[in-house]
Amino acid sequence: MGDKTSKAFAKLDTKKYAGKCVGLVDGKITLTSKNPDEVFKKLNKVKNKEIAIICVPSTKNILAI
Amino acid sequence: MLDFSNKKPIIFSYKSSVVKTRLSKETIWRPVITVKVGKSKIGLSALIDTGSDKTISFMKPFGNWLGIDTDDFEGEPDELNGLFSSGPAWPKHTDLWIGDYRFNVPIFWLTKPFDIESDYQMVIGRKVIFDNFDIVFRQKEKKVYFYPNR
Repeated sequence: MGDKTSKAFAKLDTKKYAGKCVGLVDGKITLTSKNPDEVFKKLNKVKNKEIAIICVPSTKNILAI
Repeated sequence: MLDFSNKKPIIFSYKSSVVKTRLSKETIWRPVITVKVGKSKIGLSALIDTGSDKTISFMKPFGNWLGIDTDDFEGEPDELNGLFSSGPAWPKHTDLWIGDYRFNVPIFWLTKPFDIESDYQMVIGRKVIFDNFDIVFRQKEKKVYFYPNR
Protein backbone atom coordinates (compact mmCIF):
# COMPACT_ATOMS: atom_id res chain seq x y z
CA MET A 1 0.00 0.00 0.00
CA GLY A 2 2.24 2.78 -1.21
CA ASP A 3 -0.22 5.25 0.20
CA LYS A 4 -0.44 7.75 3.00
CA THR A 5 -1.93 5.29 5.47
CA SER A 6 0.76 2.67 5.10
CA LYS A 7 3.51 5.27 5.33
CA ALA A 8 1.95 6.69 8.49
CA PHE A 9 1.44 3.21 9.93
CA ALA A 10 5.09 2.35 9.35
CA LYS A 11 6.05 5.31 11.55
CA LEU A 12 3.31 4.82 14.13
CA ASP A 13 4.61 3.94 17.59
CA THR A 14 2.02 1.30 18.40
CA LYS A 15 3.23 0.94 21.99
CA LYS A 16 2.17 4.54 22.57
CA TYR A 17 -1.38 3.81 21.41
CA ALA A 18 -1.92 0.45 23.13
CA GLY A 19 -5.58 0.00 24.00
CA LYS A 20 -6.71 2.79 21.66
CA CYS A 21 -7.97 3.31 18.15
CA VAL A 22 -6.19 5.86 16.02
CA GLY A 23 -8.08 7.71 13.30
CA LEU A 24 -5.99 8.64 10.26
CA VAL A 25 -7.07 11.00 7.50
CA ASP A 26 -4.66 11.09 4.57
CA GLY A 27 -2.07 9.56 6.88
CA LYS A 28 -2.40 12.16 9.63
CA ILE A 29 -3.61 11.31 13.10
CA THR A 30 -6.82 13.22 13.69
CA LEU A 31 -8.13 11.59 16.84
CA THR A 32 -7.65 8.70 19.23
CA SER A 33 -10.19 6.96 21.42
CA LYS A 34 -10.75 3.75 23.32
CA ASN A 35 -14.08 3.54 21.48
CA PRO A 36 -13.71 2.46 17.82
CA ASP A 37 -17.23 3.61 16.95
CA GLU A 38 -16.47 7.12 18.15
CA VAL A 39 -13.52 7.30 15.76
CA PHE A 40 -15.59 5.87 12.91
CA LYS A 41 -18.47 8.31 13.41
CA LYS A 42 -16.14 11.27 13.08
CA LEU A 43 -14.09 9.94 10.20
CA ASN A 44 -17.09 8.64 8.29
CA LYS A 45 -18.08 12.26 7.63
CA VAL A 46 -14.81 12.89 5.79
CA LYS A 47 -15.20 12.67 2.03
CA ASN A 48 -12.69 12.06 -0.75
CA LYS A 49 -9.81 11.37 1.59
CA GLU A 50 -7.97 8.27 2.67
CA ILE A 51 -9.47 7.04 5.93
CA ALA A 52 -7.97 4.49 8.27
CA ILE A 53 -8.85 3.38 11.77
CA ILE A 54 -6.05 1.49 13.45
CA CYS A 55 -6.88 -0.23 16.74
CA VAL A 56 -3.93 -1.37 18.84
CA PRO A 57 -4.44 -4.17 21.38
CA SER A 58 -3.62 -3.40 24.98
CA THR A 59 -0.17 -4.25 26.24
CA LYS A 60 -1.63 -5.97 29.28
CA ASN A 61 -3.61 -8.67 27.62
CA ILE A 62 -2.02 -9.25 24.26
CA LEU A 63 -1.22 -12.91 23.85
CA ALA A 64 2.37 -14.09 24.06
CA ILE A 65 3.13 -17.53 22.71
CA MET B 1 14.32 -22.49 -6.81
CA LEU B 2 12.71 -19.30 -5.68
CA ASP B 3 13.72 -16.21 -7.60
CA PHE B 4 12.31 -12.88 -6.52
CA SER B 5 14.80 -10.78 -8.44
CA ASN B 6 12.26 -9.60 -11.02
CA LYS B 7 9.48 -8.97 -8.56
CA LYS B 8 8.81 -5.80 -6.63
CA PRO B 9 7.56 -6.57 -3.14
CA ILE B 10 5.22 -4.65 -0.93
CA ILE B 11 7.13 -4.24 2.31
CA PHE B 12 5.70 -3.77 5.79
CA SER B 13 7.60 -3.27 9.02
CA TYR B 14 6.75 -5.37 12.04
CA LYS B 15 5.00 -3.50 14.85
CA SER B 16 5.98 -3.75 18.49
CA SER B 17 4.01 -4.41 21.65
CA VAL B 18 5.00 -4.80 25.25
CA VAL B 19 3.78 -8.07 26.68
CA LYS B 20 3.45 -8.39 30.40
CA THR B 21 3.27 -11.85 31.85
CA ARG B 22 3.15 -12.79 35.49
CA LEU B 23 6.91 -12.87 35.79
CA SER B 24 8.25 -10.69 33.02
CA LYS B 25 7.74 -7.87 30.58
CA GLU B 26 9.10 -7.99 27.08
CA THR B 27 8.83 -6.25 23.75
CA ILE B 28 7.56 -8.43 20.94
CA TRP B 29 7.44 -7.67 17.22
CA ARG B 30 4.68 -8.97 14.99
CA PRO B 31 3.85 -8.73 11.29
CA VAL B 32 0.92 -6.33 11.46
CA ILE B 33 0.10 -4.58 8.19
CA THR B 34 -2.49 -2.15 6.88
CA VAL B 35 -5.16 -3.24 4.43
CA LYS B 36 -8.13 -1.51 2.84
CA VAL B 37 -11.47 -3.22 3.12
CA GLY B 38 -14.89 -3.02 1.48
CA LYS B 39 -16.38 -0.58 -1.00
CA SER B 40 -15.49 2.35 1.21
CA LYS B 41 -11.87 1.15 1.36
CA ILE B 42 -11.45 1.86 5.04
CA GLY B 43 -7.93 1.19 6.25
CA LEU B 44 -7.58 -1.34 9.06
CA SER B 45 -4.66 -3.10 10.66
CA ALA B 46 -4.27 -6.83 10.25
CA LEU B 47 -2.04 -9.47 11.79
CA ILE B 48 -0.51 -11.88 9.30
CA ASP B 49 -1.04 -15.35 10.75
CA THR B 50 0.49 -18.23 8.83
CA GLY B 51 -1.21 -20.64 11.21
CA SER B 52 -4.68 -19.48 10.31
CA ASP B 53 -6.53 -20.98 7.37
CA LYS B 54 -8.99 -18.13 7.23
CA THR B 55 -9.17 -14.38 7.30
CA ILE B 56 -11.13 -13.22 10.30
CA SER B 57 -12.60 -9.98 11.59
CA PHE B 58 -15.41 -8.73 13.81
CA MET B 59 -18.91 -7.78 12.72
CA LYS B 60 -19.11 -5.37 15.64
CA PRO B 61 -17.87 -2.86 14.79
CA PHE B 62 -15.91 -3.44 11.56
CA GLY B 63 -18.43 -5.39 9.51
CA ASN B 64 -21.08 -2.87 10.49
CA TRP B 65 -18.86 -0.01 9.35
CA LEU B 66 -18.54 -1.65 5.94
CA GLY B 67 -22.28 -2.09 5.60
CA ILE B 68 -22.18 -5.86 5.89
CA ASP B 69 -25.46 -7.27 7.03
CA THR B 70 -26.12 -10.64 8.60
CA ASP B 71 -28.41 -11.36 5.63
CA ASP B 72 -25.30 -11.20 3.44
CA PHE B 73 -23.63 -14.15 5.14
CA GLU B 74 -22.83 -17.06 2.86
CA GLY B 75 -23.67 -20.48 4.20
CA GLU B 76 -23.34 -21.83 7.66
CA PRO B 77 -21.13 -20.47 10.43
CA ASP B 78 -17.85 -22.06 11.39
CA GLU B 79 -16.74 -22.42 14.97
CA LEU B 80 -13.29 -20.86 14.97
CA ASN B 81 -10.69 -21.87 17.47
CA GLY B 82 -7.55 -19.83 17.04
CA LEU B 83 -4.94 -18.27 19.23
CA PHE B 84 -6.05 -14.77 18.34
CA SER B 85 -9.77 -15.26 17.98
CA SER B 86 -12.46 -17.82 18.55
CA GLY B 87 -16.22 -18.27 18.40
CA PRO B 88 -18.85 -18.63 15.70
CA ALA B 89 -18.12 -16.75 12.49
CA TRP B 90 -19.97 -16.41 9.19
CA PRO B 91 -18.24 -16.09 5.82
CA LYS B 92 -18.84 -13.21 3.43
CA HIS B 93 -16.72 -12.48 0.37
CA THR B 94 -15.38 -8.97 0.80
CA ASP B 95 -12.95 -6.85 -1.19
CA LEU B 96 -9.58 -6.47 0.49
CA TRP B 97 -6.60 -4.49 -0.83
CA ILE B 98 -2.98 -5.13 -0.02
CA GLY B 99 -1.13 -2.30 -1.67
CA ASP B 100 -2.81 -1.87 -5.05
CA TYR B 101 -3.78 -5.53 -5.27
CA ARG B 102 -7.44 -6.27 -4.75
CA PHE B 103 -8.76 -9.63 -3.68
CA ASN B 104 -12.25 -10.88 -3.05
CA VAL B 105 -11.64 -12.80 0.14
CA PRO B 106 -14.01 -14.92 2.22
CA ILE B 107 -13.72 -13.03 5.48
CA PHE B 108 -15.13 -14.89 8.46
CA TRP B 109 -17.02 -12.40 10.57
CA LEU B 110 -17.05 -13.15 14.26
CA THR B 111 -20.28 -12.21 15.93
CA LYS B 112 -18.76 -11.63 19.34
CA PRO B 113 -17.84 -7.98 19.90
CA PHE B 114 -14.34 -6.71 19.29
CA ASP B 115 -12.30 -6.23 22.47
CA ILE B 116 -9.65 -3.58 22.04
CA GLU B 117 -7.78 -4.94 25.03
CA SER B 118 -7.00 -8.27 23.45
CA ASP B 119 -8.09 -8.50 19.80
CA TYR B 120 -6.54 -7.62 16.49
CA GLN B 121 -8.93 -5.91 14.10
CA MET B 122 -8.29 -8.54 11.48
CA VAL B 123 -6.27 -11.72 11.19
CA ILE B 124 -5.16 -12.55 7.67
CA GLY B 125 -4.97 -16.27 7.06
CA ARG B 126 -3.61 -18.25 4.17
CA LYS B 127 -6.66 -18.68 1.93
CA VAL B 128 -6.54 -16.45 -1.18
CA ILE B 129 -3.89 -14.06 0.14
CA PHE B 130 -1.14 -16.66 0.46
CA ASP B 131 -2.16 -18.06 -2.93
CA ASN B 132 -1.50 -14.71 -4.55
CA PHE B 133 1.63 -13.59 -2.75
CA ASP B 134 4.85 -15.29 -1.82
CA ILE B 135 5.29 -13.89 1.65
CA VAL B 136 8.74 -13.67 3.17
CA PHE B 137 9.16 -12.97 6.86
CA ARG B 138 12.48 -11.36 7.69
CA GLN B 139 12.38 -11.64 11.45
CA LYS B 140 15.85 -10.22 11.98
CA GLU B 141 15.03 -7.24 9.78
CA LYS B 142 11.54 -6.96 11.34
CA LYS B 143 9.96 -6.73 7.92
CA VAL B 144 7.54 -8.80 5.89
CA TYR B 145 7.74 -8.87 2.09
CA PHE B 146 4.74 -9.56 -0.12
CA TYR B 147 5.87 -10.72 -3.57
CA PRO B 148 2.94 -10.85 -6.01
CA ASN B 149 2.90 -14.14 -7.89
CA ARG B 150 0.36 -13.45 -10.59
